[in-house]
Amino acid sequence: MSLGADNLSAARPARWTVLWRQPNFLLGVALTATLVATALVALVWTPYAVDAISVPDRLQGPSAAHWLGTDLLGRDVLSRLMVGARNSIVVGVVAVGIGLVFGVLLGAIAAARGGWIDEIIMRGSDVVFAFPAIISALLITALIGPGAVNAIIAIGIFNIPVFARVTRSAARQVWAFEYTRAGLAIGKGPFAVTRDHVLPNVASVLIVQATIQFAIAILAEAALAYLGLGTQPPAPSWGRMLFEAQTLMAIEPRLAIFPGVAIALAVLGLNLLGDGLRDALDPRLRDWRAV
Amino acid sequence: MIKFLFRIAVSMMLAGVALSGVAQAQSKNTLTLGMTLEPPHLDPTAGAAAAIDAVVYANVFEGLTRIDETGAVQPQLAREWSVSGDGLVYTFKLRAKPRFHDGAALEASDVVFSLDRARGPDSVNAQKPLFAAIDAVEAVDPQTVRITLSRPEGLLLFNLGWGDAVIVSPATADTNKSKPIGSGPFKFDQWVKGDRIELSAVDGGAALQKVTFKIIPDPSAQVAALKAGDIDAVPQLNAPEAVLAFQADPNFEVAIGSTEGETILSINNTKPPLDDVRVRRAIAHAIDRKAVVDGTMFGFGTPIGSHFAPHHPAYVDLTATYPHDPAKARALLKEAGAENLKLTLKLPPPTYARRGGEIVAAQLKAVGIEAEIIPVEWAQWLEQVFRGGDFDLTIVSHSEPQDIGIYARDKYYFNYDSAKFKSVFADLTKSSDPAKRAELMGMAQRILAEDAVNGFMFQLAKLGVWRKELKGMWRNSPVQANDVTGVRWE
Amino acid sequence: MLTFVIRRALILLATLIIASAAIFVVLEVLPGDPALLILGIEAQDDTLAALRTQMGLDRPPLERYLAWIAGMVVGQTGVSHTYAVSVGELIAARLEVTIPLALIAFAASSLIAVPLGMFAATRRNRPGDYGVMTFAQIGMAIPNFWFGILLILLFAVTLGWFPAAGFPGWQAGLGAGLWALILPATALALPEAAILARVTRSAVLETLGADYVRTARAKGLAERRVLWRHVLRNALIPMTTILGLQFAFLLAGSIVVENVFSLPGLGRLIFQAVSQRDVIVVRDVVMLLVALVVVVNFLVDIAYGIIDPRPRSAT
Repeated sequence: MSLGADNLSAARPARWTVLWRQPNFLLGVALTATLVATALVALVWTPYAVDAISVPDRLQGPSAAHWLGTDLLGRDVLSRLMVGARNSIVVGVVAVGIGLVFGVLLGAIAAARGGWIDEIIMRGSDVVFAFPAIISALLITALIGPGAVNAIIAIGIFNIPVFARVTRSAARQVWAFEYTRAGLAIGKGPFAVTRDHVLPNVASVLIVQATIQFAIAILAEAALAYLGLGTQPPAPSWGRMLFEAQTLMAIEPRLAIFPGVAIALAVLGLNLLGDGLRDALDPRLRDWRAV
Repeated sequence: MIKFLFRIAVSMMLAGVALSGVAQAQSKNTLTLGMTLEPPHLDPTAGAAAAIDAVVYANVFEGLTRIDETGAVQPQLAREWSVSGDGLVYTFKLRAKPRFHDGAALEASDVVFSLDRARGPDSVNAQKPLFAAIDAVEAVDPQTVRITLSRPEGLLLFNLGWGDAVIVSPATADTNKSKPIGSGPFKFDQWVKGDRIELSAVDGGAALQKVTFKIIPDPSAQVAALKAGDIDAVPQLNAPEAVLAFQADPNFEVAIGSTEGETILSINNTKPPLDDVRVRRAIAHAIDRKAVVDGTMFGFGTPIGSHFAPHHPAYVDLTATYPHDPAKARALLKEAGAENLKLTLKLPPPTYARRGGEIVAAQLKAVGIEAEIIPVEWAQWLEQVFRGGDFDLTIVSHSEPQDIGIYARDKYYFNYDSAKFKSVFADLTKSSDPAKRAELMGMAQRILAEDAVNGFMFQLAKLGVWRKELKGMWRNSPVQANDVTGVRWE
Repeated sequence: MLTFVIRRALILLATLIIASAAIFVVLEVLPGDPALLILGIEAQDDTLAALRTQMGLDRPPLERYLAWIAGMVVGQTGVSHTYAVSVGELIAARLEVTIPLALIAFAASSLIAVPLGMFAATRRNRPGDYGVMTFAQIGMAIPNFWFGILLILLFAVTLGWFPAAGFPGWQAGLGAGLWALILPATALALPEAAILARVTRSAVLETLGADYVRTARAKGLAERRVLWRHVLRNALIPMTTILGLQFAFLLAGSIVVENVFSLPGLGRLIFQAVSQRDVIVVRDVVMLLVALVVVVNFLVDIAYGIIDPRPRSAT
C-alpha cells in the first residue's frame, strides 16, 4: 500500500490514466463504493429488521444467525451497521449539499461583485466560522431538540463558509483571466459570466472539497450522535451505537469495535478518494481538511 | 488522652495519604461515595433536584421529622409531638439544644421562619403543596412549636420529613445554596465544582469523621473507581449492567433495594382515542413488563400493576389485571375502532425512558400501534408534556414518595378525571387511622388499574454497591437521600 | 503593516459583537423555562414567578443583553442559575482541566507530527514516506471519541493502568492529575498529529525545491543544517496557519473527549448547562469559546503578516 504518494510532477493530460494505477485512489474508490453499495442494499434489505427487539437474544456474540452478534436489546448488529451506513450517507450528502448550494452562491457573488458585498459575505463567513460545528449543534439542539435533521443543519451551516471561501478564491482567479473580462465586454452580465466561465472552472476544486467535507460530515455526525445530539434512537447511527457500547464495555467490548471500524473505513475511503482527485485535478490545491 | 493523640495521628496520616493521591479504602472513619449527578446547588428548600437531598438530607440539614430507610416517620429536630383530637393542631417539642453549624442555637422561632418561608408568597420551594394544609406556625416557647392546619392532613408528619421542609437559620438562609448551614451531624466543608463535595462530622455526631461525595457521571467510571478503591460506595448505580460486574466480587456488597419511582407509560387520557378505556387497556395488554425490565434494567426492578410502591404495606399486587396478551390487545383495539393507531412517544433523557421507550415502541408495534419516538430534554419535557399536555404517550418515573394523590388532581398532565377516585382520595386525606388508610389506598390502587389510566410498568430499583466492610448504608431509597449518619466501617 | 493590524482588529471586534448578538438571540428564544426546570413538577405558578423575578428573567431582553456585554467588558460575569456562583469562577475551575488537556494534546501532536512530516518529506516516495502517510490517513479516519473508547478498553478496563474516566483534581497531586489526562490527551492528539504530519510534509516538500535551499546546499551546508535552518523555518508559514486553524478543532474535540472520559472541563460544563437551561453559563462559555477561536485566527493572521509580509488579499 502506498497511501499518500503524491503525483505532483505528472503532466495534466496524463493524470487521469495515472490515477487509475494509484493504489490509494483505488482503495478509496473501493471503500466508498462499498459504503454506497451497503447503504443501497440497506434500503431494500437487511438480515433482520433494524428495530426488531428480542430481549432474550441480547448481547450474543457473532454466530451464523447474527454475523456480528446482537446488541443490548437483542437487535442484529450487522443490520444496524448497514442502516447506519445509509444514515451516514444521507447526513453527508445533505450537509455537503447545504454547504455547496449556499457556499457556492455566496462565494460566487462575493467574487463577481467585490467591494462591500464581498466584504459583508466574507465577514459573515468569519462569524459562522467562529462557531465550531459542535457548538452550533449544541445550540441548535437546545433550540429545537436533538435529532438527525438538526445535526445535518448544524454540519451544513458549518460547511457554508468552507465552500464560500473556496469558491471565492478560485473564482477570483478566474475573474482575473482575459477571457472572463472579455465576456463582460461583449455584453454578458456577471451572472452569465459566472455561469459560463467561472463555475465550470471552479467545479474541479469543488468536487475535491466536497469529497473531503463529506468525510468530515460523517465524522461530525458520528460525534454528535455519540453525544446524543444527532440521530436519535430507534434509528441506528454509528455514533449512537458507540455511545451505547461504552456503557457495556466491561461486559461486551465487542460492541465498541464494529461501529468504530465502520466510521474509520468510510472516512478513510472518502479521504483517499479526495486526495486522489485533488492530485489529478489540481495538485496545488490547499489542504482544507484542517479547516 | 492516648486515644485522642492516636486519633490525631491517624487523621494526620490519612491527610498525608490523601494528599499523595493514593487511594485509601480501608480507612476506618472516612467515606467516599460516588454519585452520578452533581447537585446544582445545596439548598434543599429551593430546588427539585434529587442530587441536593442526596448530599445534605439528614447529614447536613434536619427537619422536624425525618423519613427512615423503610419510609417510616422518625423524630429528628422534634423529639416528640402531639396531635389534637380533630387532627388540626400539632404540637412539637424540640430536642435539647440543637445548634446550627455556625454556632447559633436552633429554636422554635427558626422553625417558624423556615416553614413560613417555604409556604410564603415569595417562596421558591419546589414542593410548596406539601405545606398547603398549614394555616399557622407559632413558637409557643423556644422549645415548642405549634402548627395549626386549615384541614386535616394525614401525611403532615411525613411531609415535614421531606428535604424541602428542613429547618434553616434566618441568618444563612440566603447563602445555603453555596454554603449550606444546617443542624445535622455533618457540616459542609467544601465543594470542588464538577468533582466533589466534602462534609465533616460535628463533634461526635456520627461514626464517620469525613464524608466525600465524588461526582462521577459515567457509570463505567464509577465501576472502575470502586474497583480501584478510589471510592468506597456507589449508593445508586444508574447503569444496571455495571452491577453485574460486582455480583461475583467478594469484596463488595451489592444491595438491590427499592425506590419510590413508579416507572410508567403515561397516557394522555383526554386525547381521542386514548380517552377510550378499551384503547388504554389494549396498551396495557401490549406491554410485556418482563421484557421491559430485562431489557431496560437487566432484570432489576419490580413489575407494578398500579401507581403504588410494592414495598409499601398497603400495596396490592395488580400486575395480573392486564397480562401481556397481544391478541387481546388487538381485539380491544378493533372493538374500539382504533386500528392502525399512530401515536407519539416522548422520552426524557434517563435510560429507563430512552431504552424502555424503544422496547415499548416495539411491543406496541406488535399489536398494531405505531409509536413515533420523540426524544426530549427535561426542559422540553416539563414544558411540552408536563405543562403543555402536548403528548400521546411518555415514559417517566414518578419518584415522589406516596404520590398516588396526583391522580386526584385536576389538570394533571395525564388528564385523568374520576369522581370515584377523587372521593376515595378525599377520604384518605382526612383519615389518620392506619387500618382505614390502608383500605382506602387499596381501593385507590384498584380504581387506577381498572381504568388503565397509564401503562404501569415497574418500580425502579435502587442498585447500590459498596465495600463489604461498610455497614449501615441505605438499601432502599424512600426519599432520595444518602443518610450516612448511621454508617460505619467494620 | 499597522493599517493591516488595525483593520484586522476592527474585523475581530465586529465579529465578536455579531457573534455575541447571535448567541444572545438564540438563547433568548430557547424553549424551556429554567425556573420550571429548577423547581420541577410540583412547582406552583406563584413559586415560578417568584423565582423568575429572583433570576431577573422578567426584565426586557435589550436591557439584559447590554448588561451582559457591559459585564463582560469590565470582566464581571453573571451568576449561574443552578450553581449559584459566578460564571467566571465556574469557568476558571473548568479551565484547570481543559487547558492542560488541550496543551498536552497540542504539544504531543506537534512533537510527533513535525518530525514525522519532515522525515516523510526527506524520504519522499520511499517506504518511510509511505509508512508515515499511512499513519496519517488512518489517524484522520479514526474518530477521536472512538479512539478514546479503545484506549479505555485497553489501558483502563483490560490492563488497569489508567483510570477509566474522571479527574482526581490537582489537589490530588500533579502526578495523579497528569496521569488522568494522558489517555484523553492521546485521543485528542491523534487526528491532530495526522493532519499536521501531512501539512508538514507538503510544506517541507515545497521548500525543499526552492532556490535558496539549493543555494544553501550548493554552499556545502550540511544536509541536517539545511533542513532545520532553512527548510523548516520557511515551512513554518503554512504550518502556523494550520496550527491556528487546528485550534478550533481542538476545542471542539475536547468537548467530545471530555465527555468520553467524564472530565470536569469546559466541554462538560457547557453540556450540563445546556441541559439545565442555565442560560447564563451557556452564553458565557459559548462566547468564550467563540472569542478564543476568533482571537487565535486574528493572531495567526498577524503572525502570517509578520512572517510573510507580502501584501495580502482581503481573505
